[in-house]
Amino acid sequence: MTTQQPSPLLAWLYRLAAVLVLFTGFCNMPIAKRYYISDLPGLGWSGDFFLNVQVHYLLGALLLALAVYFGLGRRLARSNNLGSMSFSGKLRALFLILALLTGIAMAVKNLPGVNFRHPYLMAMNLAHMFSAVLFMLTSLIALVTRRPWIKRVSRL
Amino acid sequence: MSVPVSRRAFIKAGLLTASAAASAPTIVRGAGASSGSELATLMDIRNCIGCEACVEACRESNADKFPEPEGEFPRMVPVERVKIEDWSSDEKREVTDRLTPYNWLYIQYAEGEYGGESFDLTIPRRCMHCRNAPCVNLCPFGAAHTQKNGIVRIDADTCLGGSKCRKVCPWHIPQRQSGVGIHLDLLPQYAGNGVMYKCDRCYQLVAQGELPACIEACPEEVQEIGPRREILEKAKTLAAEIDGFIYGADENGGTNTIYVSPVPFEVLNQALAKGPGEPHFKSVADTMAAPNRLMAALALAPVAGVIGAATRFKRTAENLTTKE
Repeated sequence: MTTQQPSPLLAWLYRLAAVLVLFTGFCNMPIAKRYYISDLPGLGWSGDFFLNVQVHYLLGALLLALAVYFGLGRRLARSNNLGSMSFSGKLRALFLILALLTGIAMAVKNLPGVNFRHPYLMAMNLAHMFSAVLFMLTSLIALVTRRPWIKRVSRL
Repeated sequence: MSVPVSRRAFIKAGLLTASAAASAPTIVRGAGASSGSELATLMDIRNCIGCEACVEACRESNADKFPEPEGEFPRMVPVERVKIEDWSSDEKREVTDRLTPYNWLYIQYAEGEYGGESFDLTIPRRCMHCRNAPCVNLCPFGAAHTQKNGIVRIDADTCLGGSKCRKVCPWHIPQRQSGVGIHLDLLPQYAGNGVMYKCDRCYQLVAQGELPACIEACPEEVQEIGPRREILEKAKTLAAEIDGFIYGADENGGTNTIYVSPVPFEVLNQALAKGPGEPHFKSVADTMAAPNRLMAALALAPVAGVIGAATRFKRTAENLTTKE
């Protein structure tokens, strides 16, 4: 039985992407200028909605790649009986996947010729927002209480 | 082409009275107005005499949608960054020379010279109803939305009045009324600041196969509405006939408000008074093009993840085999 931690580089990449995608997500609401966030050195871009949404897309793409990488890795690891996911990890994964899927739907909605009916559009917006907030809260709780993602890990 | 202002004022006074009876729809009513197909409007600005019959009709038709603030406005936080925008006084409600929460359509004036001739044009201005509207795409709460028939609306019941739509709109069309809306029931001081208002092209009339009020009321048949493809064709034909110019066909990726003018729009733009609530006529690139280019990154991300995981798994499996 092999128990290994995920690559430190990928782990930090995930943390960085998660923090920044949440930050840009909040800045998709008109708060960056209102609350002086865009006045902070190096954060002027957060008040530019078009720039902010592009950074949000890129970080979302990075998180999506990492989610597929780790998710598929889990599937492969399970087939070799190399590890199991903690309850905290399952919760975070669920909310992250929900946030990613609704995020993809909303990015598709932004393409020319794609329009969602109003109730569906609102449901998507709210689902994206709430799943992201729940992902943030469960991640913070996991960070404070030192809950790991997985009990036993293969280096995948 | 030159029309003295005094004549315009004279015509305006006369036609305001006559326009109610002289409504002449310029669209075939059965041309899909209620069928859900994408509709566009064509404005032949040569015909506009600035009588403001459309402005009055718009205000009357949409009066029940106008905001009615009650009680004191919340003290916004931070007060130096969040300005109260209040158009609800009797005096301000009557403003018709710009866009406001109570005036969704107004007449712009452009006087100048082009090709050695003077021009004096009046132009109805309102929401362009973009085909891929940034106000819809970037509204964080889904309050702004596009109907199947191309009408871009802001739902007053769910808008928090953050005015992001106004900032991302290339023409800064939506206008805010503070002290109203759902934000008062949430965190009135800390999030939102009222409701944003703009032309909704009389969606309730269009849904019944009727014309928007501004089109119905126009005595000079300045506007037409119909399926976008037909309207665009008509605009091109008209522009070719008069050796004129088109605005709105490609602006911001294409809009459902097409202007045809005998004067180039860059010339008109220079002649216009511009400011808050007074949109320009500049050329506008597709504002959503850059974010949409990044869809490629989102599409490639899962592929990268699969390749990465497969490669890593293969290496790990090989390592395990070697160790055993």
